[in-house]
Amino acid sequence: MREVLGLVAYLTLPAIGFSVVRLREVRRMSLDGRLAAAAAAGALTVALVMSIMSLAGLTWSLAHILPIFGAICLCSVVWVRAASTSGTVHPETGLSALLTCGLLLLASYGALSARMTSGDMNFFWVPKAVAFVRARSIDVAFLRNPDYYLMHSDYPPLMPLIYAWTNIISIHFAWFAAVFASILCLAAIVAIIRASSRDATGTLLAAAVLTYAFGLNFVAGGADPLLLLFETLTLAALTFLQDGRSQIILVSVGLAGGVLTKVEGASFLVAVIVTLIFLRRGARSIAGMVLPSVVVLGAWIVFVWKHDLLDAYRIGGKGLYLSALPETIILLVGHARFDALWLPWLAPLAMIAIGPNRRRAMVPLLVGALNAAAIVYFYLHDPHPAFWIASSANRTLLPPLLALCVAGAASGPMHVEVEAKSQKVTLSGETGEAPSN
Amino acid sequence: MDTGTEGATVMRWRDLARHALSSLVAVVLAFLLLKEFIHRGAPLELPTTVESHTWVGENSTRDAVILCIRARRFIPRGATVTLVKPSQAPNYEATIFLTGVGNLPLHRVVAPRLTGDENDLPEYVIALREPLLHARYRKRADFPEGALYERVP
Repeated sequence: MREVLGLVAYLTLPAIGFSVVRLREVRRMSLDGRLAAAAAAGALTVALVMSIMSLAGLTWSLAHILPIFGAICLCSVVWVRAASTSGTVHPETGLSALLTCGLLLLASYGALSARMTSGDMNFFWVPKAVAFVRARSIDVAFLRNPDYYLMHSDYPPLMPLIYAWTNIISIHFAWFAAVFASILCLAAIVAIIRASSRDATGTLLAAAVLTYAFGLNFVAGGADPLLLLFETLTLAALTFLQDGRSQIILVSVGLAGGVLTKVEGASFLVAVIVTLIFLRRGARSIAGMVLPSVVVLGAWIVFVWKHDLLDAYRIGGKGLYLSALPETIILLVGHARFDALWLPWLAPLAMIAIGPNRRRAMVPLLVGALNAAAIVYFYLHDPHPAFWIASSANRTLLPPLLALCVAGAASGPMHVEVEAKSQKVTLSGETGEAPSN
Repeated sequence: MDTGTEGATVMRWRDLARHALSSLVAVVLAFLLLKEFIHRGAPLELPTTVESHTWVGENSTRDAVILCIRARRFIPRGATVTLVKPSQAPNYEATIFLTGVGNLPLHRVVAPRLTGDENDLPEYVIALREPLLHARYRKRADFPEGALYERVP
């Protein structure tokens, strides 16, 4: 019963974040893409509401939480219904879509048969959530306890907060629902790529590479699937969306969610800022995309600093060991092999090479390259990074791999089918611009 | 052949190549992953915990999770507990007792400090795979993966 209740709690996330469906570009997405974007927005909303409640001294009882989230859902539905409808653009279906579903089934089997559970789920994500639920707020005393030093006291709170939300609903923590939620994240990632790129071929490759990387690297139940979901939303909005308002809001949701999920979200934020400057985007547009994430990250850092919990975010003040650069790169390239002769990296690169829209792939490629550089930069803070790399590279390499997958999908032709008119238009060439309809 | 037709042919070939590449890579990676999954345990065996099939060999986290489930009915609510692999004394692996924090939500899981002031010793110790030889503890229950010890009053 608790697993069912836990699963129900995860499934409420799209309802809580439903307001993003009002955005023009999200309304144009197919149903799976809309649900995925709403789920990401819902996860961020849950984390923000529970954080604010905690700061305001309001305990997380069902009597407090349910009315708040119920009201958010209701307002979102009313707000979205009031918006004018526009033509939904369906991606093509066929063998690629069938294979994609098969891959997601394989991932579900891996997660539900306990073959890809993340160690960190047991070591700190769930313990933090359980402690928070016990205290009915973000438990500063628990985070400050030296016994739990290895749980990283200042690590961003989104994942424990989501787990706390599901734990409140299921009474006792629902472990299998939690590992299955990672597969829901994978499905959401694939759905966003599919619905925004409208390229079933590129989506299939992304699904194959990410399913393999998830399964091989034990990510179920950890924070990486959620981080990658937020990063996918950001990359897809930057790469595929034409409507400026939709793009700004979705990028801001993705970046804010990312920085609140893992420390790596901050390096992703920096990579996106540099990319936006490189693309000469307007200052107002950059500020709109970036400011919300800077504010929420700043608020979290001030919170941990005020409570003397600073740990991982202190890394910036440590020395840099450039002498470790060759070793770091050699080790990272070795880990990137992923027991498949670098196929997960080479296949998207080949896809980009033969794709007709290589220019459109530049944005995710640049973000991915900058993200990879940030990973190297962090490892250089250790004069002997071999152990650190061995214990974390399988996860830290996932964001650049995701960027490569999005780039692979971006390089393809844009198959557009307008539901209302039952017309199929295939775009090709170097511009990759969507028709205005 | 005019430029338009030539362009269309190139496009068709590119499209075909992309389809072939993605399908082939999907099949290869799915096969490799399935092979890896089978390597991690009997394919049709139902898992008892989320750690059941993460590792083929001995796995302390898997033992810790299952021991928490088995031992918690013997431990009073709110009691202090720790988890250790006795042979690791005095530098016990932290991940073992940290695993207990999430799996014993009704108890107070503390770091394994089994020396020093006797009043500070945890009330219960879950020992993985090996017997706990400690004058202040006696065995409370035995399990296939280890045993539960309680502090002698």
